[in-house]
Amino acid sequence: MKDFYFDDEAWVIRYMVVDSSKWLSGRNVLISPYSIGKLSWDGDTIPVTVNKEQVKNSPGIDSALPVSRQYEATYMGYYQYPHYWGGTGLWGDANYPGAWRNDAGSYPYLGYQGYLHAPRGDGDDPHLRSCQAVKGYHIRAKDGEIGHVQGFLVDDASWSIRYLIVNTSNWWMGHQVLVSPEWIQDIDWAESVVTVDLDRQAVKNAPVYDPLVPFPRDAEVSIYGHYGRNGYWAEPTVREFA
Amino acid sequence: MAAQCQKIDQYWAANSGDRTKPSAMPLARYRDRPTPGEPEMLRSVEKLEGLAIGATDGAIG
Repeated sequence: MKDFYFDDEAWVIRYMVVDSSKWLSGRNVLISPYSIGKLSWDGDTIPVTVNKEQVKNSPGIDSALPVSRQYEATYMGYYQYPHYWGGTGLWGDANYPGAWRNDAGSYPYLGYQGYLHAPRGDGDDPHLRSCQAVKGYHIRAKDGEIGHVQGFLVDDASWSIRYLIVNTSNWWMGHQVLVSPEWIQDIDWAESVVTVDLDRQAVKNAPVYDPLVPFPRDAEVSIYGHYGRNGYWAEPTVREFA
Repeated sequence: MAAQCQKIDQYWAANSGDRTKPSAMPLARYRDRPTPGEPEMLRSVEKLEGLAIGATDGAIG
């Protein structure tokens, strides 16, 4: 695995970028969460519902160039997947990429694609960003810097990015803290700066994130409670796509 | 699945606007992991990057 591309509007992983150079000379391929099966916690493999021949013949990708909506349409057509960008949910009209998948791993209800194809209203920009590229972005609170993006925590059912892992570096002894994308005020992509709607003292007092310790829902409750925010699980979250 | 399709049919029967216009788009609502105490489902991208990708007939990367 080389990278993940996420949608910077919905904060959802849209593709895995897989380095297949060992068997496809010099090629990277994209794998959509539409094809990802159930992950186990102790496995060392992400199972996908496509075969090697399908991957080999899939539309090529140049990872040095942005993924266009046109490419995505070709890709989705090739695999016979519904378009995620034309519906009321995070994945078309569903909230999970596997919602329309049958037991054989395919999407037989493509008759419904007629209205899954409508653009979300923002033209041809798919708003895809590389997780690798965003790692290292500076994080700025309302009253100053708090660290940089060290990583991401992802919900493997919806493939939503639930938290940015923030490394506080020298400012707070290198502790890691979590920041929800819901609390992001602005991102300056040119300057690689993420501004969050939090203040430094609140971040300093926030629960520390330890990647070696299990992270149950109770820990999320503590973090949201600390910042006085409603958890995304508490009430249906409303997102208006522009 | 049939029930899901029926719900969507019902939705669009009741909201028969022009779907190509943003103003006709309903708000996207979602609700996942609704209650505390559910099994852990969050994974770090860093850990995921370390996993192999297994197609139905072998590893692809």
